[in-house]
Amino acid sequence: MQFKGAVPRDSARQGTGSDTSRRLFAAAMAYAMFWAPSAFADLNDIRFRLTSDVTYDDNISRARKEDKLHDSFGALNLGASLPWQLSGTSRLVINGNVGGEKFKRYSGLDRLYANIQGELQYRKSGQFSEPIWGVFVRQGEDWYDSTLRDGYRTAAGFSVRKPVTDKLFFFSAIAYNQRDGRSKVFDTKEVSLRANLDYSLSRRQTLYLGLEGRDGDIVSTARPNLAYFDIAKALILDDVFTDTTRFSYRFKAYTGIVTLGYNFALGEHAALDLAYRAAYSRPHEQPPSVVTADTIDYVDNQVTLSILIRF
Amino acid sequence: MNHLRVAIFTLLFACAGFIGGCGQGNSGDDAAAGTAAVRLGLDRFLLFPNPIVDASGNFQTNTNAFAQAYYAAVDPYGERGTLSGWMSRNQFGTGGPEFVAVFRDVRDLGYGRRMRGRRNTDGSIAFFVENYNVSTVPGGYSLVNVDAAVVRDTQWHVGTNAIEWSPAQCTVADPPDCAASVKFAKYFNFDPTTGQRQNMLDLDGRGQKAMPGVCISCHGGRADPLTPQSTYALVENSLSRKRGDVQARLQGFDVDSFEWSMTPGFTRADQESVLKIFNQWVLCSYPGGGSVSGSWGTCSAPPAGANEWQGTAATLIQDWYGGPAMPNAQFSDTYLPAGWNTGATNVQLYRQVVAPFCRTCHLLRGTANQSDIDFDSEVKFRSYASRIKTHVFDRGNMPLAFLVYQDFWKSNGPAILANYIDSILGAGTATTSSGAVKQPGRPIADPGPNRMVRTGANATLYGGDSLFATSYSWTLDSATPGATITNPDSATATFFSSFPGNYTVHLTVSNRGQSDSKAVIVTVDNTFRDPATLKFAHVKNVLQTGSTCTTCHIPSALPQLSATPPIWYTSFDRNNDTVTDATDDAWFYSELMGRVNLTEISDSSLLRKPTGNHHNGGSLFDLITNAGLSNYSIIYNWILNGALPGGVAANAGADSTNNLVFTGSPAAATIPLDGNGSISATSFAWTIVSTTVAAHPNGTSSTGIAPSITNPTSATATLNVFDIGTYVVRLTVSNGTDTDFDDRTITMTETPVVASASPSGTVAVSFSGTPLTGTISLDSSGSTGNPLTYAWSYSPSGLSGACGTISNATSATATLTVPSSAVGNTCTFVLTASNLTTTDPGTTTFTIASAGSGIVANAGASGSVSRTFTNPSVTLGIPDSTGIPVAPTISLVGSASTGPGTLTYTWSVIAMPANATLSYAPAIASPNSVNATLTVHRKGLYTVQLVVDNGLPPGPSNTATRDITVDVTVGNAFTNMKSTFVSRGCTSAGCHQSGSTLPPSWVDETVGVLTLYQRVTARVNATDPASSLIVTCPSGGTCGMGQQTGFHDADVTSYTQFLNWIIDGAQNN
Repeated sequence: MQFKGAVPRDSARQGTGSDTSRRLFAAAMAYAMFWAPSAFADLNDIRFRLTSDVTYDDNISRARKEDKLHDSFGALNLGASLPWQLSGTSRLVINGNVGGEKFKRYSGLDRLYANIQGELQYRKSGQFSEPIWGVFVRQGEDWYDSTLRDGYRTAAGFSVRKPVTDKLFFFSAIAYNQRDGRSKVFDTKEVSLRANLDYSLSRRQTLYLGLEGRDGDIVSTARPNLAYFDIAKALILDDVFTDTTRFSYRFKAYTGIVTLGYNFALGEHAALDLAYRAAYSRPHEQPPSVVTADTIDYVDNQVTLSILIRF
Repeated sequence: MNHLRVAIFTLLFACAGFIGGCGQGNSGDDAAAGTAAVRLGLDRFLLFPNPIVDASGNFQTNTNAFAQAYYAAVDPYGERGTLSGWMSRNQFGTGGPEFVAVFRDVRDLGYGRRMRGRRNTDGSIAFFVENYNVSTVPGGYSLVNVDAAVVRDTQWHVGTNAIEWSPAQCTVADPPDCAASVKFAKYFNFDPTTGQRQNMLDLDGRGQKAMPGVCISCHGGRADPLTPQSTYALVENSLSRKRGDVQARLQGFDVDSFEWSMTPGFTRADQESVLKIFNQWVLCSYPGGGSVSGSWGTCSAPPAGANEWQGTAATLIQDWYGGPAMPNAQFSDTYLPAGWNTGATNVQLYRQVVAPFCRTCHLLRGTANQSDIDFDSEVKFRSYASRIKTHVFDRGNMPLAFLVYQDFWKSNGPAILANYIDSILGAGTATTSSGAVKQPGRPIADPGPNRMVRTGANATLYGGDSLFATSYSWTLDSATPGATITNPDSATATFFSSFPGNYTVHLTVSNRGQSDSKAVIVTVDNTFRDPATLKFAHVKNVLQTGSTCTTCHIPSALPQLSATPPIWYTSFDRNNDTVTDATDDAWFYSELMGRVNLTEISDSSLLRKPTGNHHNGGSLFDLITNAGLSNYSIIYNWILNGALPGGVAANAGADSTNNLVFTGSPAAATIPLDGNGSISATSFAWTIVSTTVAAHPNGTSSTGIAPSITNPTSATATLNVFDIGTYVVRLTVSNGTDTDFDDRTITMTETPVVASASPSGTVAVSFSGTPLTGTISLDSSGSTGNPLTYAWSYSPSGLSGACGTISNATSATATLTVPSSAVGNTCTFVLTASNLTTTDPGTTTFTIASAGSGIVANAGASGSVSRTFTNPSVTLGIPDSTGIPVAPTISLVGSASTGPGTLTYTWSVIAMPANATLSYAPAIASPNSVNATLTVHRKGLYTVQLVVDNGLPPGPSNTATRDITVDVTVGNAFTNMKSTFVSRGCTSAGCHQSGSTLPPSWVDETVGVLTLYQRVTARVNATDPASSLIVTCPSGGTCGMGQQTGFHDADVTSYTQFLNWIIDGAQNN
């Protein structure tokens, strides 16, 4: 599951790498797709996923108290996945997706994006409970209406997937995520550890629970406040929330995210998904007491309704 | 289906393939910071615009050494080395008026400022300000700075500024007249963490800059070069005469321009009263501010020095609170100086440009002698139009504070100012052809000013003062060929010409597709010094020669008099060690360097002021004259060469035209040569470089005698010349290391002779001698041009010789000997006078007159004479009754008369008694003789006239008169007659006996009614005394009687007695 909407909301688009590495990564992936011997990959194995969803976010500015702003947005995402069997125990899965988001009130957050990911997966045997280990690299780019937020996202990490029972499926990943924005405020780095548990209520219904912890940069947008200035690692006059003077501040913070979802299959290739996410973030540093006695943190809640189509 | 999958997949990965195709920086931060739209110029904010570059290439005023020297001057005992020390020295926390205000000074540095101020009992004032700057804030938004200041958030405490206005502590480094009681402003900055005083600080994020320049650049101060041995400079205009008194002032608090915290206690309303107090205290420190009263007490501002800033900003502060008495509690800036209230355009310029972007700093600048730079009127502002254009639109170092600079360029100020500049200096000066405002950053060519160089010597062409140029191109204008330019594509090129004249050189500079070109005129002159040899001595020579500069720029009595300039150009004991030596020269050099701008040479005040820019004195550099251009070029080239110290400068004196007086034989003239005006010279050598004899106007030949110099190795020598012409003498001097020469061209002329002869008109001549002659001096003294020869003659067109003869005809004064016969003649004379080279004839005409006959006639002294008249006519012894009585003659002597020549005499009677007529008229015998005689017949007053003549026109003195009163001799009175009657027996009986009536009785008795006297006078004829019966009867024996004794023949005594009694008037005496 992804934490959607305004930053930080897309852990999938985080990674590492310089401009050069990003270009090499993208070129290699494209080359591999089109010029590698087709004996290992059957184009009939390509899987597509089209997702359309709508989300309400009660703290789109990722701020506290009177600086909290809410909005809702719609999203459309088209993804493709091509498994590329390397051996009897390993394969390379190439994922790519493009999409966009459209916000109701804060159009500066509207964006188009594209991502490409390569994940090398290993499964020791074909036994049911045998976990699938993976190492992945992901590169993406955002095109916001906000100039400051345009940029790249790079991620690298390890993952594990394991069917626990025939109804319970476990997924976990640890990743290093990096974002390279037009503004240094949106140059963020973090380490995330997440886990997801899917529970099949029936053949068509699935409940899932996700937990994620992040240690790294967050961006909060709020009006000028000495408390924020005191602890911000970078800040900039924001170009999205322009109703009054607001700055986007980058902090070093701990962030926890909880996701609770319900998925209902509409057929062989379609499903409805309803998810609730809550995030809590607290900067490592707090301003001195002469500045404020309050704790600087924020809570965000999202509710998302999605329709997913596979083909 | 597979094809569709492949197509979609291809599309997806094609999109993905572009990911990472572009680089990514943080360009978004630039836009958000708001700096991209503002062009930066030279980035010399808070630096004085005319910095002196030291040997290390640093601006001396921006070095640690400069700050150290400053604090050594203002805190000589190190009592203010820390903030706590400074606070202790200024008595903070010891009671008394002390207040705190917190605000953001938008127009200054943008900091949140926590200001604490106090005023001590001695009137000293101190402020220290904790500056808070949340430096991470992009785009200049920093209202949060105030919040940081309110809570004293140490994270953002960037430093503590402090200013105190307090008395000085004079030391041995200060001049003897240092006044320890005079308060002046001192500037400090302390580290926010350690509290240590800082010499360098970064106030605006543009790098470390040195104290105090970073403060005083906007507080009206000066930043002069250090005096040698790293001593802080003395500002001569100060009343304190204390090194470190940079004449900087406290700034008023422009409350309207502040931003405020919303925190209770720190809002504007909460702090308005405190800031008014602070403003009043500032006013207390302004010269001539008068008395200021507030809730804190009353102060008397110090009197303004005659030469310092006159407290111009006081009116502004007072106006903020409603006028001189400052009655308003609320600050309000509606100030509009009268000099700006001159039309809507000027008002707009003031309110939208000057007030927000210029006034704060400029209003504290200027002196009593020259206050243009305070911009307190449109006229003053206009006078700086060209410099404003340069600093704002070309160089980009004004406004001088980074924040203000940014605000200016974000406002409509540039457009308003550019239009104004165009209106003053011409369209297109500050705007482009499309009307856009020109901005700093475009290339601007600066080939330097027009200057003079020496024929046949390399001269530097320096384009390094050009702005924003990356390439340079020097070209010689095709219209002025004859010179070469070496390294024409470098910023520094070399000009050379062997031919005197004016050359136009173009400099074109380029940068990023833009270019600019300007021309400079290089005047090649034979007499100008080789620019490469110019040193400080030559500059001194310019400044000290003549009285143009040193009439005013001289050490003055203290306290300083009115209109005393801030720098003195004479050589004197600057370091007060009782001798004037090389050390004083080094000090002088240092002071002078404060007037040199090595980064924009032509902007050096040493060049601009004497050219007439904002100068209270005269003009040394009249650039339209050769001499003015030469002086200017000496200093310009000296700066261009790096303003080298030392050197020796020959000064042969100014070129001159000498109108000479040639005297002696051979005729010669001398011209004194004085090389004492040379600078640092220890040996002298005078030589004659050239002699060009001029043709004589009178056509005579040149003398052919070569000139010479007497004492040619002395500072003072003499040039001996024997002819007119042009002489070039050269003084070569040396100081043992350097040599220098100076040529002096002396044009020798001789004033043309103008002959003037005199006398003229009518000349009265005094004659003497026999024959009579006189003399006239023919005088040439009215001639001019110092004649050497003279020639006097009769005019050919006149009467030659008619007026006499000329002697000494070749002398300045000739003599004309005049005969008396020439009186009345008119003659014309010619004087031909000549000096060495000119001749002139002069004429004079005069008529000879006599100065007088010279005669003083003397007819003798007037007086009385007594005479006894007798009857000269006797017939047969009997006096005739018809006889005319006559007295003995009276001598008339004219020999006492004097006079020249041969004298002639003429006597005459010009007055006589009324009855002396006809036969009784007087007569003069020998009336044309020197001596004559006068015969009279009556008694009475006679006036005799003597006229003496010598042939010359007579004057009054030719005539003399003598009054002669002729009386009858005593003894002929009636009493005597009565005795005669008796003695002659007339009274005997039968005769004129008593009582007889016929003949009447001669007895002295009354007969009848008649007395004797009546009876006698009845027989008297006063008209013809000789016919009276009283004498005719007795003398003739008629009337019935015989002849009586005493009346006839030999005895006529009684007859005579009776006759004289009758002539005497027949008186009863």
